[in-house]
Order: sequence, then structure tokens, then C-alpha cells
Amino acid sequence: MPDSDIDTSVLIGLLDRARDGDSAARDELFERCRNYVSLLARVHIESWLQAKVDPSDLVQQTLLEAYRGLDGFQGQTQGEWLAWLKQILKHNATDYIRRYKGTAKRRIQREVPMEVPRHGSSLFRIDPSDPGETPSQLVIQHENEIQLAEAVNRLAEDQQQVILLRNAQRMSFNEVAERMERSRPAVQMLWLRALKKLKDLLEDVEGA
Amino acid sequence: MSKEPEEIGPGSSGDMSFEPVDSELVGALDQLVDALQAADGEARTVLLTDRPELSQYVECLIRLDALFPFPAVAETGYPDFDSTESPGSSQKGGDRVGTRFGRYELVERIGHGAMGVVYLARQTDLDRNVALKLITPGSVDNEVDVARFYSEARAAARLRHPGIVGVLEVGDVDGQHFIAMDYVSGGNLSEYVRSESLGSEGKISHADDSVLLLTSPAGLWRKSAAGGAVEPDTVAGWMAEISRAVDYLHNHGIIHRDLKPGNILLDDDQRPLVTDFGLALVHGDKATKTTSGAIVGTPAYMAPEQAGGHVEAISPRSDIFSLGVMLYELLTGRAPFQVENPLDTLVRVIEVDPEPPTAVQPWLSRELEHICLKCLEKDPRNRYHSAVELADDLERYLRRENVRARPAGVVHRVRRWGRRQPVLMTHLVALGLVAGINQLGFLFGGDAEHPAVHLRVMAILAGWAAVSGIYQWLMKHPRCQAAVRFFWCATDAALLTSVLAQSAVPPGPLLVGYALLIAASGLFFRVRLVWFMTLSCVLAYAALLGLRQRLYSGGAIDEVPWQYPILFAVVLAVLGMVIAYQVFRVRVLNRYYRRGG
Repeated sequence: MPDSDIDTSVLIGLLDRARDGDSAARDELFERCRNYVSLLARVHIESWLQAKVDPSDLVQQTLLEAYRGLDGFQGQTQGEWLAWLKQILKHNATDYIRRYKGTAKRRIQREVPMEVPRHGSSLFRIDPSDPGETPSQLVIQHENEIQLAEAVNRLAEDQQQVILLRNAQRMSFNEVAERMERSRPAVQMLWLRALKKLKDLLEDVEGA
Repeated sequence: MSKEPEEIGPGSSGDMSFEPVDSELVGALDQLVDALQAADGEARTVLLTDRPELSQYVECLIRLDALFPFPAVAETGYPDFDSTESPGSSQKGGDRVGTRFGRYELVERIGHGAMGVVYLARQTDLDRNVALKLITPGSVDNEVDVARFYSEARAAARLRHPGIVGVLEVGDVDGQHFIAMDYVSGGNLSEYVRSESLGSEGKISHADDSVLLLTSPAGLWRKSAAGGAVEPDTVAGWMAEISRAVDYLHNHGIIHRDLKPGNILLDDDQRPLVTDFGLALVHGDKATKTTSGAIVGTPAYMAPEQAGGHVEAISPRSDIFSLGVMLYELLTGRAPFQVENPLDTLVRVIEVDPEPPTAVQPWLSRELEHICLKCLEKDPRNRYHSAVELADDLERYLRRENVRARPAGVVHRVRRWGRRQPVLMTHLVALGLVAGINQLGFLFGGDAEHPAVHLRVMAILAGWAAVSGIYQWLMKHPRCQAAVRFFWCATDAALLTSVLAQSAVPPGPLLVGYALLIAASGLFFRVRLVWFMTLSCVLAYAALLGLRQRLYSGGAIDEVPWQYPILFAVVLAVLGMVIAYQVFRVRVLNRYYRRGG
């Protein structure tokens, strides 16, 4: 996959320049990661709130913290970079959901102190001993995720939705149908189309 | 046979273009996603071998999975939320052993049914063990279904009988519906009986040390390691108790509809208890709604009227049929209709009479056989009128009194014999008719045929019948079944050709015999067999033309325009295509059914 190598080097190149204080590179780096972060943010939020919520606040917050915490990031590869973004997102999502649920349910007593992320705190350094996944697996898996996220973003809105519900949230088609207020065959058909499209998009990117 | 449906706008509904091909693909992909998400490598391999076209999606699906590590989020992501706020989907694959569920503590996962997972649970307030069935989200998911589910479950909860598993409680904890039932410790009957499908006769499977009854080539009763044995008397005793319990259900207006060894539990004293009653109905209506007419139940244990989808014809006697299937299986170690694929199983349930049990276990009592076959009558009116009659008859057998079930009359027995081997029967009837008419033609048709030719034709017909008999006999051996089918097809085509070659006049209309063979080959429901038959017939037809050219020097006898034979061959090919496509369609539905069922 020569193209993904180029992609990788683009991101890493941007990252290196950003570390050296090139603010244009820094902006571009985050711009390129925005779709990726927002897709994952949607998954986080929607799977917990079971509703369609605009994740832009969460995305903004996450990118902002990553931006500020860039100096604390010590990874060298795209996989590490994406894993780092994911981790920041995860912590922010926890807070976000907690806050959302707290206000939505008007249960102030459940409001727990927010872990306000501090700049450069250990929380946001990549932690190779993250118990969730082993680092090597994690890096390999994450290497091409950005292309996938881009591809998902290029699907039609309802195709994205069905992929997120079925593949990300792992709902059954009955649940998906109910959520999307369509018939079960209709969402299945939509899903099939989305997968075909996605496959073609990925092949285009990687085969080019 | 379009594989690619028309692209339609993302906002519009896809219902109209939802073709069987696509629905099958979606089903397979869906299973693949489940397999990947459950990290079930075996299921994945099976699926990919079965449908190689899926492989192009695998990478994409794996990458999607890696991108969205859902369980990791659910388990470690948000520790501060109590479980009531977790989404329903997190319960889908997760093992919940050790967690609390309302007043219950889930101790161990003990089973998995159509509607959900069954756990052994501890009811903490009363300090007792219960079997807790957590209904899979999605199997009852709209208000009407939920209401019906509760009304059925409540009806079931009112029932008390020593032969049924009591329903203790039904309810929901944070939207998760559940049923609490008596916990029965001894496992279910199907764990005791490892009946092998016809495809693997004599294979022994050890689930645990208590393998009691198996189909071995010698058909011996096997002793369990514990020293017990399922003997015909034990079976009769069990079945009598089960029948009484089923009768109790019938008297309370409940038709079980899914009686099978898996739904019979054994308690510590090895007494059978019927479970899962009253719910099949709820689930059944639901399933017919969502999977467009899928049949509810387990094909191998269904009554013909149930298998045929005649919902209105399902009666308590449908349960009696299922009891008969269980009796048969317990006695012989073999389920009478079970074959590998559910469509063939259904066809057998509807059309084919089973081998008599004594043909499988020669020393079985005739009386038990009569009881068993009376339950398995295709026409519900010929079965026992009620489950209690069946129980009474079984007890008569146990007391060595004369049972009420009588051996079938001669006509009935011939009919049963015919239904057991439909292919042979069709051959014999058709050949008999042809021979008869041919004989009449010879006697009264003047000088149409030379006696020597007539004799030859009749000899071929007789030989054909004999060969068919041999093939039918070979078909009994599961290992050569597939090959025999092909040989049978080729032989039919060849023999038809040799008969037609004898005719002194152009066989003209009789050529329709080839078409008949192709159409008939479709009854095996195998696409490849239809193609094979078509090819055989076209080749046989070409051979016929050649033969006739040679036999009747110069072909003056078959004077037709040159393109006619070509047209005929083309028609045969098209017919083969049509039949093959029909079979293909049926198989698609079959696969869909297998998934839905």
C-alpha cells in the first residue's frame, strides 16, 4: 500500500514540523484529523446517549487539548498519533456524557467532579502500558484508520448512520430499523450499499 | 439474475429492489460481522468457504471493527455510570455472569434459545436458584409484542404440573425483559441423546460421560459411564410423562409448537419436565411478521401442517406429531426426518414417511413401533386424538397390555412405502404406465411394431425399473447418496434414449420425455444436478439422432428441417436453465429460512 505510506509520511511530516513550531503545519495536521475525530466522537456519544447528537463541541474540545498538549506527545508513528487522539477523545467523551446525562436527567447529585484535563499531565502522554490494548496491536490497527474514517465521511449521511449503528454500536437490524425509522429490509439494503461503497472507496484510495 | 440492483437515492426506501440475492448477501454479511465481532474464527471460516464472494468485504469489516472497539468502550470507558444507563446493545455479546440483574445474581450461563440466553441465577431475597431467561433485545421490541409476551408469560405462570417447568416471574429490569423459571439441574434430553444426522451414521460424540444412546453401525444400545441405559421401557416411561404434561398444557389452551429434546429437562431423579411452552406462540407471531412467513419451530420436530406453514391447521395434534418424533429418536437414536439442510428436512417432514423404527433397531417391540408411527401420521386425523391417549397407550405397553395403536392396513402400508422412496415410486409408476400403454398399442394397434422391437422395448423398461430399484437401495447409504443421484440421472437419460431409438417411426412427441427428466431432476433441489441432467439429455438427444441415422440408414425416416433438432436441444437447455433457476431461488429462501429459524 504505497499510498498509505505517503499518507503516513505526510502526517508524520506535519507532526515533525508542528513540533518544530511551524504553526501552519500544526493547523493542517489537526485539520486532517478532524474528520477522524468527529467520526469517533459520534460513535462515543451516540452509543451512550442513544440519540443523534451533534458532536462538534466534543470534537472541538478534543482537538484543542491535543493542540495544547502536542509537546507532551512523544510518539513517532501515525498509529501512535491516532491512538493518542483517541485517548484524549475517550476522556473527554466520558466527561461530556456525564455532563449531558446530568443535565438531561436533572440529577444534580450524580454530578461528579469533572476531571479537568491539565496541560501536559500524564493523562495525555501516550501510555504504552494502557491496559486496554497492547501497544503493538494498537499501532498496527490504527495505522490506516484515518483513510477509513475519511471514506466513511464520504458516504451519504444515512449510509454513515447505518454503518455507525450496525458496525460501531453493534445493534441488530431490528434496532437499527427502529432507530432510523425505516423498515428492516430498507436498512439492510442501505447497509449493503454503504458497505459496497465503502469497499470501493478504500480500494480507490489504496489501489491508486 | 441481476446481482447489482439499480442504484437508488440514499433517502429513498430500498424495499422495492430488495431481491432475494441481496437479502441473502446481507444475511451472510450480517453473520460475518457477528462472527468478527465475537472473534469467532470458526464461524468466519465457514462463512467464507460457503460464500467466497464475502471475502472482498472482510478487510473492510475488520477495519471498521478495529476503528470502533465498542466493547472496550463499554467495559472500561465509563465506570461511573450504573448499569441501568448502559445501552441495550452492550448486552448483545457480553457475558454477564457474575453481575446482578434486579433481584437476581447471574451465576452461570446454561443455555441459549431462540429468544434469549438462559442463566442459572440466584434469587437473593428468597435465596433460591432459578433459571433466568434474558430476552434478546429485538425479539420482542414493539408495544404489541411486549404486551403479548406478558400475557402469554402470565398465562404460563399460572400453570402448575409436576411435568412442566414452572414459570416463577416475568418482568423487566431497565427495559430488559426476562422470565424466571424453576431451575432444573439435570440438563436436557438432547444432551442425553446424541442422534446423528443421516450424513454421519455411527459417529459418536461425547458431550460428557453420560452418552447414553447413539447410532452406531451395529445399532447397539450404549451404556453410559454412570451405568444407566436408555432402554425402550425407560423411553416409554419418559414419553408417557411428557405426554401427560403436554396434555395438561393442551387442556389449558396452550399448544407448545416446539417440542423437542432440547425443551425437555431432566431433574435429579431423571424425570422429564417440559419447558419453553406458551412462548413459542408469541415468538411465532413475531417471527412471521418480521421474516416474511418464516416457519416457527425446529424443522426436524415439526408436524407437516406446521412445516407447511398452515398456521390455522396447527392443533394439539401437531404437538403429538412432535412427541412421535421424539419417541422415534429416543428409540432409534436417529431423528426420523433430520437431514443436513432445513429445506430437505421440511420436505421430508411433509412428504416422506420415516423408516419404521424396527428397520433401524430390529429388536424393538412392534407395539412401540405402532405407537410411534401413529403419532407420525401425516394426516392429523389419523394420529392420537389427544396427548393423554398417547400416554395411556405408552403405559399399556409398559404393563405389557395390548396397545390401541394398530398396525396399518395393506393399502396404507403400500402408500407409506411409496412415500418413503418417492423417486423410486415415481419411476415405477411412470414405467408401469408406459409399459401398459405400449402393450395395449402392440395388441390393438395393428402392425405398428415388430414383435422383436416390442420385446426389446419392454425389456428395457423392465431393466430400467430394476436399475431404479438398485439405485434406491444404494441411496440408503448416506455416503453414496450424492453420487447415486448423478448416476441415476445419467442412466435415466441413457435408457430413455435407448427406448426411443427402438421406435420404427420418428419418436416425435415422445421426445418430451427428455423435458420430463429435466423437470423431474429439479425435485432434488440441487442446481448442479439439474444442469447435469440437462447436459445429459442434450447429449443423449444428440446420440439418439446419431443412432437413428445409423439404424435407419440415411435418416429418411426422421425427415425434418435441419434446424429442428437444434431448436429442440436449445429448448432443452432453456428448460434446464429455468428449472435450475427455480431451484436456485428456493435454495436462497432456504438459506434465509435457516438464518431466520
